Amino acid sequence: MTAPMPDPPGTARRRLLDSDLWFSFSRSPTVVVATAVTVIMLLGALLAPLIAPQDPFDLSSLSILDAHVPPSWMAGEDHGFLLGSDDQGRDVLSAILYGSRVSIGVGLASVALALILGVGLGLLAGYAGGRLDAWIMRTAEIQLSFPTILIALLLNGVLRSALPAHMQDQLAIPVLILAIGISGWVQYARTVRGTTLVEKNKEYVQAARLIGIHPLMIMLKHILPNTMGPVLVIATIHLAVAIITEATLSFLGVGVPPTEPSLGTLIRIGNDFLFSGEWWITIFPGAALAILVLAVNLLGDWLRDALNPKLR
Amino acid sequence: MALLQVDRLRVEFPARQRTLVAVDDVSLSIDAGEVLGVVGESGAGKSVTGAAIIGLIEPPGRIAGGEIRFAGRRIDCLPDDAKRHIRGREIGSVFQDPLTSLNPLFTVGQQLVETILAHSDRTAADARRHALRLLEEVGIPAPAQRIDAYPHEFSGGMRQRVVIALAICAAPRLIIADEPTTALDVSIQSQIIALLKRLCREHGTAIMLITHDMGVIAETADRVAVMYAGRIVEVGPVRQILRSPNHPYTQGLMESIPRLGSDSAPLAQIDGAMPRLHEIPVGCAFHPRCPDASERCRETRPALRMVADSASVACLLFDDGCADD
Amino acid sequence: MTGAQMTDTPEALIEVRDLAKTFDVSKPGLVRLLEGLPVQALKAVDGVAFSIRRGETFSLVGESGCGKSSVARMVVGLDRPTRGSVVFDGTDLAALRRRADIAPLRRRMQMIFQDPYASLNPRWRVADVVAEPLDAFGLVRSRSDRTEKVAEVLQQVGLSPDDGRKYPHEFSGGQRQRISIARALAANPDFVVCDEPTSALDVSVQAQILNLMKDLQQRFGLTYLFISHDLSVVNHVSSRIGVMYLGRLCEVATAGDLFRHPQHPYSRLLLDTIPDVAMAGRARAPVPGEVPDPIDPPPGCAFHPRCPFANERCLQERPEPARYGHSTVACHAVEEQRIPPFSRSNTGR
Repeated sequence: MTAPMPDPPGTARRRLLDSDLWFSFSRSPTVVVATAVTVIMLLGALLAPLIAPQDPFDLSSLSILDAHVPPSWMAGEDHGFLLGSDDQGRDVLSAILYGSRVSIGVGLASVALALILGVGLGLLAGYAGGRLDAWIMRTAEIQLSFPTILIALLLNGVLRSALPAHMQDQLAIPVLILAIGISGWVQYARTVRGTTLVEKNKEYVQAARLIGIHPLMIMLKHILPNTMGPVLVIATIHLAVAIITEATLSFLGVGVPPTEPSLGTLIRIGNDFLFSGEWWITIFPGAALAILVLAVNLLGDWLRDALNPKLR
Repeated sequence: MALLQVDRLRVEFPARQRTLVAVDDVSLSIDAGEVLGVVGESGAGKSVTGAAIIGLIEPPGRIAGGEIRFAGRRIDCLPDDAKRHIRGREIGSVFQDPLTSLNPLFTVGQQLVETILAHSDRTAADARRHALRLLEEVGIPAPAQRIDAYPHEFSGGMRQRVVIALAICAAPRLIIADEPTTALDVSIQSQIIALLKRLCREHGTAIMLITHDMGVIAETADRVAVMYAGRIVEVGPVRQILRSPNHPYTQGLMESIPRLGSDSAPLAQIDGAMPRLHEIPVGCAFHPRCPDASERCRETRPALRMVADSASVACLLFDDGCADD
Repeated sequence: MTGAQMTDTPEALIEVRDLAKTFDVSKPGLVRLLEGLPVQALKAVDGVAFSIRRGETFSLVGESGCGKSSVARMVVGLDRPTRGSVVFDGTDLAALRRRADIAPLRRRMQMIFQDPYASLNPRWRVADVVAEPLDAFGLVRSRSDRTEKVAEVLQQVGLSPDDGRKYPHEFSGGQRQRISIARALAANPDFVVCDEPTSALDVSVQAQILNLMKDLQQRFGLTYLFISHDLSVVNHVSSRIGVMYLGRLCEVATAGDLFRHPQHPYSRLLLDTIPDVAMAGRARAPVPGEVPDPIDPPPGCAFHPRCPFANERCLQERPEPARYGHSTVACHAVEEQRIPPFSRSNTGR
């Protein structure tokens, strides 16, 4: 008897091209565009230090003389700022590239935190049932009765005030991630608990119980993989929400410190100059944020429909 | 003239890579007051045939060929309005799961009255009287007390009786019953079968009974059509088909049913499984599982041919050399 | 009640004593308190006792809700009995608390489930599904050992070793049931509980699976507990049969005795409801009545509302099982010899 051979080369690719997911993807131009936009913006954020015309955090490269310059394609002198510059002579395009780095980074990290927290608690609640289930889900429901942004604001405030003053700026980003992450776990927990309740009564789980597999292993090896479809959908949509939440907090001035501006911070800074005619300082970061969130949202919506067999 | 005449019906479901043919070249007829059993394993196309007759093929599925005539009138290409009119008034239907056939939010009486009013010009009070009569007819004990109950307050068997009452409330001439007893316990099954047979006898209603259960067919049907992979492989009077089946598939099917009184010798089995719709073999669809398959069976699709006085079979073993179409 | 009468024979592999399972089906606590409702208990199984000899097939048969599946789940240890005990090869399962003590017994008992679509994890390759018991009980030492064993078991159930690489969705219902059987056999069990293993399958496939199960039983000396609602299947596979109604056993008899001389009126009713393909066109007298609500079962003998032989005593006193010939029957009418001899379909045409 020979050991099972790995799949012949190319079958993974074949499977992808044959899959319903790929079919539905290639059939929807909106999704293809949304994916392209998301990928471009992710790449832009990732490669910011390489492709940005200027390092907006390097104060030595900034010159106050370059401040308030309109976009280069508009009438007037060409200072080489494609999307104009802000009040400190920072290139808006570079600021957006660097800013989306912070925005997307905080978004991804908060999603990861919420996902781990929510999936773990949801699995536990669904599989264990009884009192533990009741505690976890009541907590979730209480949290759900407050707006997410309020919870994030509250957590952010509490955590910050607990920190010594000199560390507040240093730890601003981790605190923000913690706040947004914790404010978002409920969705995951509820979904995973629901799926767990269904899966744990299926016969393959009974078969595993029958041979004495440890409950923890049953949860991780049997149930968890079967809950991942809906979790992926929630995570995608949650990424958009998390980015918006971060932007909102930063816009309100309680998010990331001005030394490391995110898209939300840029919008806030630019907001002050909107009425003096220097619209580009706020509009371009705003547009970038809107396009990013829209693209991620469209992706999430499509995933939800494509993974839901009832809608097919 | 037959009440229902189906000629060379073909139903297709367009899929991504190819078109799936769920029903292929099916012809059958039902006379008034007759019970035609349509039997086959899952995926044989029997339910799709029933759905095509009542005009309930879900798009993108479509009737791609053939004709369906009801009382001489062609009904497969009618507009939706006219189809809806025929459905319910002329052709009633009973499905497998009585729970999903009834709306849980309305009482049984409301649903019956609504259906009666939709199909006749009775007054509301008259419709309610008729509803009571129907409940009594299908054997609901104390119908006057039960008429205002909700579906969940009935047991499975009683619910199926209510569904049958709904199906007959416009006195249709044909009832399509798709696995009407499958979800029920054995002792309740026999009650529902007896009810269907009584309706057939007393009102002259024709029934197309779709089921996978040979036992139900044996007891209920006058004639039986055996389906395999979207085609009818054998059709004829039920006694003849069950006692001396001609088609190798029917033979295998009959022998694989465990019988009372037989010893515990191994059951005769047909190896393999019914092909899925996208992999129906060319030639005779049964040839990969057929013990008597020859080279010709791999290439030539047998047509349904009369073999005895009233039975027909689609098998090259009975095709005495004449060229196939 | 003791129910001890229904057990016999010293060489029993499984002995079930006075088994009972009660489910709390009351409304949630607060609602119940506010509305002043009583605690409602559903007696899914109530005082069931039987024994299964080594190498035989014992079947439990009955309509939905009679408690046959609950008994099966308690026998393999998926559910804890409310009362009573299951003794496997001389060891009372309820007495074992430590994981390490239970594991060797677990290896020896396996289960085959009803739904071939839910019994295999859709995300696992077939080889991993089949190897799960091997890994769990530490029965294989190396990777190649595991592969070899999986291939062997797959071949035993009529699949190819290459099928191990595929996922469950690539198989038909019958093939999935073979995979389920392969998983059950992987750890070389002595005892297999089969919970309606063919009721989701087509007839021609059912024959394949029943033949396979019989074949495996002979090759490996397996003992089966077979759960089914289908009397003709039960008749085909069983050595002995227990007929259940509303959580209780009404009759335990050998297959031959039960089908030739059923004693309990409910056994007779069930026999009369089997459609017989050989009797095309024959009218059967439908049996009146339905199974009562198990939350509120009738007093006395639970079957009395549907029983043509019921008298005053049946309405009040619950019949206890007792031996009549080779069978064990719980029925006052049988005890008082008020029942005429059985001929199939003697209830009229």
